[in-house]
Amino acid sequence: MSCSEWFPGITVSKETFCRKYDLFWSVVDLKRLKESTAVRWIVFVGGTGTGKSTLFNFLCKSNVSSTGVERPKTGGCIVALPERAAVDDSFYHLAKWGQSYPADGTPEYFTLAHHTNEKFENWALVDTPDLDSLIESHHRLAEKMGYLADVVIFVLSEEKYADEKLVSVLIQQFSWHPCIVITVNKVTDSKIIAADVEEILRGHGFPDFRTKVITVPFFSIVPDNWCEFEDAILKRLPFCLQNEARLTARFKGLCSELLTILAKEREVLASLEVAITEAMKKSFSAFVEKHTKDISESARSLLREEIQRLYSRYDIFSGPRRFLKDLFFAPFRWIKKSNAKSKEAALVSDAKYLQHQLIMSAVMGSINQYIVDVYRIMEPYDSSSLCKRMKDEKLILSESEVEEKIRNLTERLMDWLRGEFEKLSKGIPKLKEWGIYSSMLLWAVFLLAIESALGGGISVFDALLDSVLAPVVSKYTVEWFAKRDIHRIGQEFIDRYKQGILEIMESQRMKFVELLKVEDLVKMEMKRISSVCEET
Amino acid sequence: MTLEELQTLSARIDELEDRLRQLPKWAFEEKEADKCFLTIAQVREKLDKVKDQVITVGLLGGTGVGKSTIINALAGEEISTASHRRPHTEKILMYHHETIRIRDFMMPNEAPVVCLSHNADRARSLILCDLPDFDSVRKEHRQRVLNFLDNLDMIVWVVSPEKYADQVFYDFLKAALEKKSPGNFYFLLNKADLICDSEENRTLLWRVVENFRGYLRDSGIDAPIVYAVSALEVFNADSISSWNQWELFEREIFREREIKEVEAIKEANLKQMLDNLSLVVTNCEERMLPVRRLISQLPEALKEHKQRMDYQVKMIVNAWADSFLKNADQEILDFGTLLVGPSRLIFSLVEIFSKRRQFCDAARGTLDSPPDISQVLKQLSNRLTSFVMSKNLPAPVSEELIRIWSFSELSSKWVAGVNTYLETIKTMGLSGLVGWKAFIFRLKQYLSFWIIALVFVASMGRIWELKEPFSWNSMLWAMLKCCERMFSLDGFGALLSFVMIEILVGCYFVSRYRKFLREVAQKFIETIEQEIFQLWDDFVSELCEDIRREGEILLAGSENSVGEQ
Ligand SMILES: Nc1nc2c(ncn2[C@@H]2O[C@H](COP(=O)(O)OP(=O)(O)OP(=O)(O)O)[C@@H](O)[C@H]2O)c(=O)[nH]1
Ligand SMILES: Nc1nc2c(ncn2[C@@H]2O[C@H](COP(=O)(O)OP(=O)(O)OP(=O)(O)O)[C@@H](O)[C@H]2O)c(=O)[nH]1
Ligand SMILES: [Mg+2]
Ligand SMILES: [Mg+2]
Repeated sequence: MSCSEWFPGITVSKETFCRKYDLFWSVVDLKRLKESTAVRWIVFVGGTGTGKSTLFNFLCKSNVSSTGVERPKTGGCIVALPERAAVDDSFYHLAKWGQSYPADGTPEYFTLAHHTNEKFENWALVDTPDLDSLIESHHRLAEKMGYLADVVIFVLSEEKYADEKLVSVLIQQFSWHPCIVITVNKVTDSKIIAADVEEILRGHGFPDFRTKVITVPFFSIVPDNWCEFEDAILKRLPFCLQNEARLTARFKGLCSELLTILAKEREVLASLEVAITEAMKKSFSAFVEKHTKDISESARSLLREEIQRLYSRYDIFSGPRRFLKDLFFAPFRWIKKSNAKSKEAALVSDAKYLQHQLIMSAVMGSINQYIVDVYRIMEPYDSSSLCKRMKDEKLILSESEVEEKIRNLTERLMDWLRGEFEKLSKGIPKLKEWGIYSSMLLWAVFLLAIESALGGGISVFDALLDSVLAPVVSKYTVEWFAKRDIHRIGQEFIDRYKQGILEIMESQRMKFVELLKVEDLVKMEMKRISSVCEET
Repeated sequence: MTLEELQTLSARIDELEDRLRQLPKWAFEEKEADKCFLTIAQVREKLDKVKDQVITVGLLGGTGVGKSTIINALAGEEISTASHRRPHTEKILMYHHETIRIRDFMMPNEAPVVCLSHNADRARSLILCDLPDFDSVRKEHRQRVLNFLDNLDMIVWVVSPEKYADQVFYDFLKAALEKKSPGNFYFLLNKADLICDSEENRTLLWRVVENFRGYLRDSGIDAPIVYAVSALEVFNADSISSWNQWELFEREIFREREIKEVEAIKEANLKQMLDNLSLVVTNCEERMLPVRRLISQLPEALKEHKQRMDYQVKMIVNAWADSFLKNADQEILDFGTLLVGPSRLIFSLVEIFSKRRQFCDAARGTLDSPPDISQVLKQLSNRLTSFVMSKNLPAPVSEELIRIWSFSELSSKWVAGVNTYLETIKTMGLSGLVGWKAFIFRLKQYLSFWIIALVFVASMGRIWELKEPFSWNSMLWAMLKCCERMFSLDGFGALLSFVMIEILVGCYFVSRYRKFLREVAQKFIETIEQEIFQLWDDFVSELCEDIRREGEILLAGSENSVGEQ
């Protein structure tokens, strides 16, 4: 998977990291390549047209790399191995013999060649593309060679030695190198130019001017064989054998740079996940706090209705009571609010709809609150691509989705309720049943007593008393017995309701957290990198 | 340039300036606005000078490509020092005919300038400029060159075989294209002698030139004019080699130009500047598109949610009204003074049972606190906020938009609106039965009670049994009989039923009266409910209006903040 696919890019931009990351892996490849041969590397780097290839060819004693007037000329790394160098098979994964020489090189692989210079029999010579032409991939190709070169020959020319680009690359990418040889080519006045170069470098903080600049004179015709340069390089080589540690340190530096970025990234991802989860909990508890009363009220009234229906089977007076009530109230209709009942009935369906709307908008409200909270959490990382993906509208649960979920939830709850009632109706304990019966019996006895005391049939007042009190007493007896069940089922019902709502919000949270799941990839990648780093 | 052309150009400037002014500040990138207005000012200034017959030619290139050598070769004497040390030239050299007063042709800038006059007539209307490099470690040189660009009409770009592929060159070329027309560019490949060290290498030179042309084309210069020259060869006054295109170049530079041509050169540069400016402006305008779209979408989004919010508000207002009604019912019963006799008695009993007093204050309290729809408002605020935040708008825009419907803003607006309404309601109060209606109501009560009482007395006294004509004697007799009956078991039953009937009738009146009062209260509260609904509707449409207005402000140009430079 390519770097830009998995790298979240929260703390550093994707480009910066991926550049480093690609560099790392190609350096790792290169290291393997280098380790498969038992030679040290001398690498030529510098601006286009400064004469890298020309100097390289000098040392090779043959035209291995092409030189010419087209700029830029060399397009890939060219490795000239000493003729007797032992090479592992793995070498050939990354390097191929050139088709013909002099070769231009290609960015895809290392072009292999032999050099015939006996004086460099333990050294591989490497020509690289330029550092300053308009083909930017060349720069990267050349820069990474710094991680492996035992000797860097940085080639400048009289025309280019003050170029800002070259000097800054030299300072930033190569000045750390323990064995860098700065060479100025095509020089007409070697003393003055060498002094100028040294001054410029010193002015840019080139660390302790270890080495003197080597100058190469301008030849009107480039000679086939020219020894001074070779000798100057040879003189430096003995000092360049012991820098393995510095190279490894540099590589380790790259490792730790990558690892710290990834660790930071992981840390932020983890903290984001925590924050996002916290935010959900917060809006859920706000929801519970605000709407539990609504929910429990509506739930309880619903339950009461259902349970009473169930228990009314045991209410022996319900029949006569209704009859009496109707009988008694017929002439008194005008006292009561006549149209109140029908109005109420019309309101019931309306109220149910409203109830649904209320829950719906309450849920929608807290989801929106949650989303705003998440966006605010993401605010510091606004420019990252992760943030853009987080803010995708498709990630937000739409109203219809929420409505669907709530409908599902209510259906599920209703099913559960029905089951619960079934259980109830089957298993009303005998004792309870008798309790209900006996309290009603008491009431019946009480009524009879009054009747017999007054004598002569049930008076108007009795009827009034009965119709007003009997339903209440009988109702409350039933209710008193049902109360515990109402309480239990109601509590559970509400808990289930809350759980359902929590699930809806949880599904929104999951959508966000899913995006943070790259964390695993980051972790894997960290492991991969650190295992490679520990190897060296 | 004809007058017409001038007019179209200045019309274009005006149009661009207009468009610039209509852009809000946030549509620009950092410092972009200032730059744009500066460009406008510059173009205006240059347009005034377009009639000047003098052309300024500048030599631009990296260090060491031979700019100074070239100007020396053009001048035919060493007016600028060349060196093999890098970078060399630091100041700008302006080489002009003695009849030209340089100050007239220079935009003010800080670059150090050296002026040198000559009396060569072939360059009468040219100012030749040698400039510092733009690619060396001396970064101030680059800045000087950039600043000086404004003074140049024509640019001779100089490269060498070593530097013609340098990235810096093409970067700088791109920067220059913002201000100069590519039609006014010449390209010199200097030091061609390094490639053509012998005559047979000529094809090599053409390869390089072709290569260079290719790069130039890739950087957006369609038909680059490239000369391969060797200035050193010319300056040293050796015989000029056949591949050296110096003469061609020199002839082109010193060519006698017609007035029209000179104007065309300047006009082309101005047009290039304006083209680039209009690109920038279009870019900025495009940045406004999503904002505009969003602002037009917002009222729609709001309406979409309104339906659901309406239900919620309805529920809340209903609940609020109910609590009011419950309390108001008690309060209204103060009008009980209209009741008389037994109905008054029943009323008092009801009053005692319902502990009316406790509720009175609560009823007043209801009107003091408006229905609490903060939950709805919070949802609305969150909904719109997340909607806007997900759009990734420029920070100042989304901040501003979010501010309009921040919860505190919404709720304070709503509460203020409802409270003022409720204030007016409170002063209105409720009215019971008044005038002749009250009188009739009372009359009805008196009549019914007295008639029942009379019937009772009459039936007790058995009036129909008084057969003999009216006399005090018989009257007394009837009274006594009445008393006698009263104290019998029979009479007691009658008295009981008399009281019963009176109570029932009293109940009837109380209930009638209560019903009436309830209706009054109901009507009252219904109008309040409706009014509050109306307020809610108004509130939402006002919010829409606010969004529209705020959108207008956001999209409007910020003329006062970016003044003319
Ligand atoms: N006359 C002369 N030409 C030289 C000298 N050194 C290099 N050159 C020329 O400079 C040009 C560029 O040389 P190259 O070696 O191809 O330069 P390079 O650094 O490899 O350039 P790229 O491959 O583009 O990065 C060639 O035409 C060489 O002939 C010199 O000392 N004298
Ligand atoms: N071979 C050759 N050398 C040249 C030619 N033109 C200039 N030079 C040499 O190039 C070097 C630099 O020339 P300058 O004219 O100083 O270059 P410049 O562009 O003015 O450089 P800065 O002032 O630093 O920007 C000098 O040593 C010149 O002799 C040429 O046509 N052929
Ligand atoms: Mg090369
Ligand atoms: Mg110069």
